[in-house]
Amino acid sequence: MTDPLELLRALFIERCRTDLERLRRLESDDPDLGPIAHQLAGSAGSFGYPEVSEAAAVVDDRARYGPTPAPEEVQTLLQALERAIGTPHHTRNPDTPT
Amino acid sequence: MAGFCILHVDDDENIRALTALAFTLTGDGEVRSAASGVEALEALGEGLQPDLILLDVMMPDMDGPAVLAGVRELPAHRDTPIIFMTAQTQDHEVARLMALGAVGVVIKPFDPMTLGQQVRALLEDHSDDRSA
Repeated sequence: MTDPLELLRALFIERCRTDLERLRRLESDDPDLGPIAHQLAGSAGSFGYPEVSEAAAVVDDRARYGPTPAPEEVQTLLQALERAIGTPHHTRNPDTPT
Repeated sequence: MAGFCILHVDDDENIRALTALAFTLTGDGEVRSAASGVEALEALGEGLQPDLILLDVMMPDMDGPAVLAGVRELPAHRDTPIIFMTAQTQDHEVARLMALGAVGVVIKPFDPMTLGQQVRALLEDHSDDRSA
C-alpha cells in the first residue's frame, strides 16, 4: 500500500518544479518573488525539506522587510530546490538580470 | 479530549492536504479545509461548527487577522478557539497574533506527525487559563 505521506511529498515536489521554473525567470526585486518564497518557507520543512524552508525564509524576509533579496540568496534557494527535486544544478537564466 | 472537528484555512493546497492527512493519521481530528478566508466565513455562516479554527496568517485578499475579525462577528463563533499558523517566527509577530485573541500560534513549517499533539497542548493551555 502506498504511503499517503509519500504521495503528498510527490505532489509537493511537482509544485517545487513549477516554483523553480518561475523563480529562475524572476528578477531579485520582482514582487512575485516574496509570495513564492513565503509559501516555500512555510511548507517545505513539513514535507522533509528544511533547507528549502530555511533558504526561502531568508528571501521571504528580505522581500518583506528589505532590502531586496541579494542574487546570492535567491541562488541559494534555487540550489536548495534543485537538491530537493533531485535535478542537476542549473544557474539562473543568464538572460535574467539580477 | 477526543478528536476535534477542525476548520483549516490556508491558500496553499499542499499544506491543506498535509494538515488533513496529519490529523487523520494520528487520529487527532477531522479537518474541513478552506482555501480562503471568504470560503471559511461562508462555511461558518452556513452552520459549520468546528471545535477550533487553524488559520494561516499570510493569504491573498483576506489575511488571517481579517478572517479572525470576521469570525468574531458571527454570534455562534465569538468564542471558537483560533490558532494561527505562520512562517513568521519573530517574537513580536507571535505577540501581535496572540493579542488579536488567538489561543496559540503554530510555527510553519510544522511536523505533521506532531501537529495534533501541538494543537491539543495549545487548547489545553487555553482551557487552563480560562478556568484559573
